[in-house]
Amino acid sequence: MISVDFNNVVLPGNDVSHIVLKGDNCKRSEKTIGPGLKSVDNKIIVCNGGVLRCKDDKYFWIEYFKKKYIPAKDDVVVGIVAAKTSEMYKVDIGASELATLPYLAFTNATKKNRPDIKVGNVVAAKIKMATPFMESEISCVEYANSIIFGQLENGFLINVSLNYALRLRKSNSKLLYQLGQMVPYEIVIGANGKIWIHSASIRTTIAIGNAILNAEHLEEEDIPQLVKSFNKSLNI
Amino acid sequence: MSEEFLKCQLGFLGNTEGSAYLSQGKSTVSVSVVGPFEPKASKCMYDRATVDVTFRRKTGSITVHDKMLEGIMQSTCEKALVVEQYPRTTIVVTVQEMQDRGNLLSTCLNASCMGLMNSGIAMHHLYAAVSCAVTEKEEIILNPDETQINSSVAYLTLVFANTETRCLLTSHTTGEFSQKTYMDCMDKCYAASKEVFNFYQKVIKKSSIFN
Amino acid sequence: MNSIKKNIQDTYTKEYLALNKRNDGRELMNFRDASLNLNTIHTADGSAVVKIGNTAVVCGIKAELGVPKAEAPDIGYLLVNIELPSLCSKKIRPGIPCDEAMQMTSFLNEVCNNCKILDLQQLCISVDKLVWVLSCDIYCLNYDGSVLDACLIALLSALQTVKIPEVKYDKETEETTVIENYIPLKVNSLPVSSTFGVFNEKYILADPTEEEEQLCVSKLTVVTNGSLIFSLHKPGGEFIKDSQIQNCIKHVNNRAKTICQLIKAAQ
Repeated sequence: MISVDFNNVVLPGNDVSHIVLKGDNCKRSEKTIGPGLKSVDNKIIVCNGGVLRCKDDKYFWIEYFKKKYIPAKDDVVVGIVAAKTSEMYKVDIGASELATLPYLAFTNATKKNRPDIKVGNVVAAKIKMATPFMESEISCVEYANSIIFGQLENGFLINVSLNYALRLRKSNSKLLYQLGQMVPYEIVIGANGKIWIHSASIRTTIAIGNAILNAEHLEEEDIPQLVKSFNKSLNI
Repeated sequence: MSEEFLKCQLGFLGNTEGSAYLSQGKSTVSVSVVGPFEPKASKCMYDRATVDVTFRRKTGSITVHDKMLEGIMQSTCEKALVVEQYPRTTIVVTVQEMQDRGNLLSTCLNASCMGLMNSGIAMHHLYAAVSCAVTEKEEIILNPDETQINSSVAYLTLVFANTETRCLLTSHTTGEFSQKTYMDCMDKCYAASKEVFNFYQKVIKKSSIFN
Repeated sequence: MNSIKKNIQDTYTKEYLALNKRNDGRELMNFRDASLNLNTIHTADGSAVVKIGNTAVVCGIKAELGVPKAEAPDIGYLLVNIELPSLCSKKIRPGIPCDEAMQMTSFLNEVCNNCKILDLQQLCISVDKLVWVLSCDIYCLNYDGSVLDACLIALLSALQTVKIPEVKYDKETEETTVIENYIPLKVNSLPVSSTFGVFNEKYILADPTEEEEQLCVSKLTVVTNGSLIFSLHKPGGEFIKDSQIQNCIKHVNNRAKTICQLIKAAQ
């Protein structure tokens, strides 16, 4: 048996049931397995090569490198409108298929009052329905105290890997905070790895985009250095 | 198998979902994995993903023999992937020969395994291919070089998965050998495949950006 | 085959496999009977028709004169080509040769090289100038599983019927004269190929029919002459254990004896 522990590298095919299912029998039903793990014949098998993570001794998942987005319900995504039909938009969210966005799935939209979005525009939306067997459906309807969805005007779109996007979305991201200290900007980070940035001038927007792309493989300690050079590039 | 024998670089192609560059001795192969994406209607299967492996020579054209290698790679990859998780999609694996100095099939198979792992597509298990040559004196040489292959009486490529029990996944042989020799080769190759899996683990550890 | 149909067939098949029975009444490790007919095509230099169950293949060999390769001036050519025309099975579309035919061709050529089926030097007429080229064309007439096994039997028995005339080659005038003195080819070994279908990790079926091939996840082909193994080919698919391989080899050796007897008896 391969001895693996949390925060250890695991490979597809490894059996991790002895870690995940350890403890009392009655608590087994409370355990939840997430991405990269599957259960086969009462065993928990790893499907992706990466690091085994655990939260509260209850939730288990694998952190692994991936670039291809697979839609999941309630994810906030950024997409590009690829086509228009009489009923809906088709939006490219980086998944295996285009997602559908009905005309009525906007705040305050009615049959008469249609949203005015053209092909090539960028939208932020939430995934309403995601199954591998059907096209996923996204919606721009905003509810009370939800974030703002809909068309993202102007701005600049960059693509990063999914892991990096998830790291940036954590509220304690140092980089975004420190960049904000230098220049004010707006940012939408989609769970699908697409990031939309907007600021006062095109120059700063591109500089922010480059800074974010450059920081992907940096350690936490190197970020102040990056921000310093970013500040310099603004003042030339 | 020494440290220098296997070398691997992951994710060297920017526009694909996964890529690997693997060299085994003097043979080098690069692999790109694209997908899962929407296939042509004729290839679409509503309950699973289709896996498409293309093998390319550095000269561009491929022979009938290469078609057979392609077939072996295709069915080996397909078994390793969790195809049920990606219905109505296709996964394209392109294997490009960079340099062939013997052991091409095992290099291709190992490279495709690394490429698939780098792509983040769910897999049932990993696989490792090991080649060995049998000399006239019935000695078994693991990972032979070109001259050793040419002077051998039999040359075998065996693929094992990283399951707990010993299971043969793929076997391709040339030359003549007895049943006993075959079993001996299996023992040796199985032991060598463990080292390949250790190597995989090392590569993933190194490339893991989360540590 | 779509997955719903496959699922139903799978459960049904599993039930009778557990009783060591198969669809057509055979036991798991039983092979179908093979039959052989020689010299059926009179325009070819050698030919054979082989039937294994419902699978039928025909092999025709044509001997032609050709120039040898510069790197091997004293040996002739043995070119094997398998064709799977669309008439043999509904799953094969007309047009360019399908991948399966290419893979089988490549495999058969490899087997011929491995076991040195012919001493290619006997095909040499004049070193570096003139050799015999034996083109063996194998056509599948009915595709009902284990086509490769039938192809190899057809090739071997057709090769044994080939008689090539003696040829005189004048090096100076580059003239060839054919003497009507036919010599039969010497065939070195009699390799026999047997295909097994791996249904799942528990059941292995010998000599699967087309229907069974569709249900099986992978195939295992063993080529042997009764003592030495010339190829053990298993392209991916389901796992297989050591004991299963040994069991298969044991059955192949028995099968090889029967087929060798068949080929010898036919002459």
